[in-house]
Amino acid sequence: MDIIINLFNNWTILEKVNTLILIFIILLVVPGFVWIFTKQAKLAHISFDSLAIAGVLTLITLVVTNLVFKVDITYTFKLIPFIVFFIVILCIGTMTGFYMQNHKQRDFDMTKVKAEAFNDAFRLTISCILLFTAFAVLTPSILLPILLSLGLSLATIWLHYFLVFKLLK
Amino acid sequence: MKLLKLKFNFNVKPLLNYILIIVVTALFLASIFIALPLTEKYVSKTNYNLNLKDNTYWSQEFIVSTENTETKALNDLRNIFYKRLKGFGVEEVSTYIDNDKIRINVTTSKDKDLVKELISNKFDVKVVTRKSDVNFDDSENTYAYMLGTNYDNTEWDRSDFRNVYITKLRTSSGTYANFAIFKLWPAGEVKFNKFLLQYNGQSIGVDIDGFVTPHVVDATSKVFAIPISTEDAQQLKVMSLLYNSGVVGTNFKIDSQTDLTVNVPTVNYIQITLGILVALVVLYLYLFISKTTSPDVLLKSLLATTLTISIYLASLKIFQIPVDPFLLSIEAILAIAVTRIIAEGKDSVFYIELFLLIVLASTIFLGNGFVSIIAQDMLIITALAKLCLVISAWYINKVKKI
Repeated sequence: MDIIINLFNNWTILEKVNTLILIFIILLVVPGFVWIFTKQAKLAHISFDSLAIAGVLTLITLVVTNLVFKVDITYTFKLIPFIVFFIVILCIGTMTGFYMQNHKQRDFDMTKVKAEAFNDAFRLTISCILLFTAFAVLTPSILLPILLSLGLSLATIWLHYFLVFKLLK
Repeated sequence: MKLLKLKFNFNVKPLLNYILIIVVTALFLASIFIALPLTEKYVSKTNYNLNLKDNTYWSQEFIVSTENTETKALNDLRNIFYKRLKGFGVEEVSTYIDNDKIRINVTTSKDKDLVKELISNKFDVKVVTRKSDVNFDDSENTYAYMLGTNYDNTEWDRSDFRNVYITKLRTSSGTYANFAIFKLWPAGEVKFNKFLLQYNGQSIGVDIDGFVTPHVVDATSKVFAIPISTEDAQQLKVMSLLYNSGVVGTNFKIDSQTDLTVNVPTVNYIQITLGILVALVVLYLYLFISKTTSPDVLLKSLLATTLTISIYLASLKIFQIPVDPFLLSIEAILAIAVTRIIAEGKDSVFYIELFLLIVLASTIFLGNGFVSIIAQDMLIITALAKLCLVISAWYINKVKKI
């Protein structure tokens, strides 16, 4: 827990306020827009859950990496949350886009959203594995942050799909 | 004798199309060639090196002690230091309170002297008037007008002005010079104008940390401004930050300044380019073999991705924009992923772009350090990817028609 305490003490009040506002925007504004466009509370709920769990998972991973594996969390590791949220936004965007394009069709139901979410998750997984692995091999100085980003990205992609599968009926 | 009339039934449009395709293809190839590493070895007329920040990074710890050691005063000062350093673009700043002193760790590629100015200057700004018993015309003391001890304080200081705006104004000789314009809070305007009227035609001054810049009052002018003697853009930025990052409530000094080990990872640019090539080839080969995407979409996506990365790298090289190579590798991964998603999901493009715009714009303004930098770069790359997709679709369409 030292890493969190140190992080908290090393930030000025301005940094803490800015970070809180940023978290608010990511966790509430994006799902808010999903709800505004789709009028589906479940899709907004899935978006919020995906983002929140991605954030918590990233924090836990960094704490475990620091405490258990005694790795110093340097500047490069701070980019991991950015990469993970970027991937989650892609997942939320594709889900929202598919729903908006197809929900007015006569034979539309939520199973189509689930099927599309699976296809998107699969495609994004393959892309992430191939891209991150190529860079991890060729840029060894940032190997660990890239591998952690890959692991967390895959986890959040399939977490998003799991939420779509379980919460959409 | 009737002259034969020659009629040319010649359609110019296909010829113009051919020429346009050739020109566009040449531009595509030029951007790819410029983006590749080692271009500078083959082209000597222009500098095609990436302007890497790797060797320009330095890291120091400053220990600052203050007169007022209350927690609130220390936290307020920390906030001001953070605003100044973040505003200047210092990549990594961390501050903490240790034994009633403030420790500031800085890792940056910015100018060392300018960063030190942001930390060492209190920048206590006051409007002052000349002491009646001081001889400002004494030829043996030509610096009398600059010393704060020769002036009396007034009720006006920096807190009475909402903003100090630095810009070029016309001088009395007709040339342009930099001035700091003091903008009042609306509630104080009338009172300040009354104050200036008292000294109309006389010289008052603006005291900054004991040194005064004189100002001759002209009651007809609506602008209260003092000249700034520098033209350097970075120094002007530092001055603007010192004026506008807050009022420091306590005196302080730098007790020590220690060099630290720079912790920024170094990545070889050739490795990154190789990474991009390998990633693109492997990914698109897999997609082609697995037939998960139609060949048309695949071609459009591949061309758009190549163009996005090439144009981005070429711009960095041509305009010599300083860049962190380790950020480039992460940006390349995200650029390839986002271009593929946008190319494939026509229905999702608007929503992905809107959500990314919200998150990236917020991160640019509210984030700090490298996170803010990468968010800015990704916003540009995402917009470029969208543009390159449109160009790629048009280009492929045109080539098919030939």
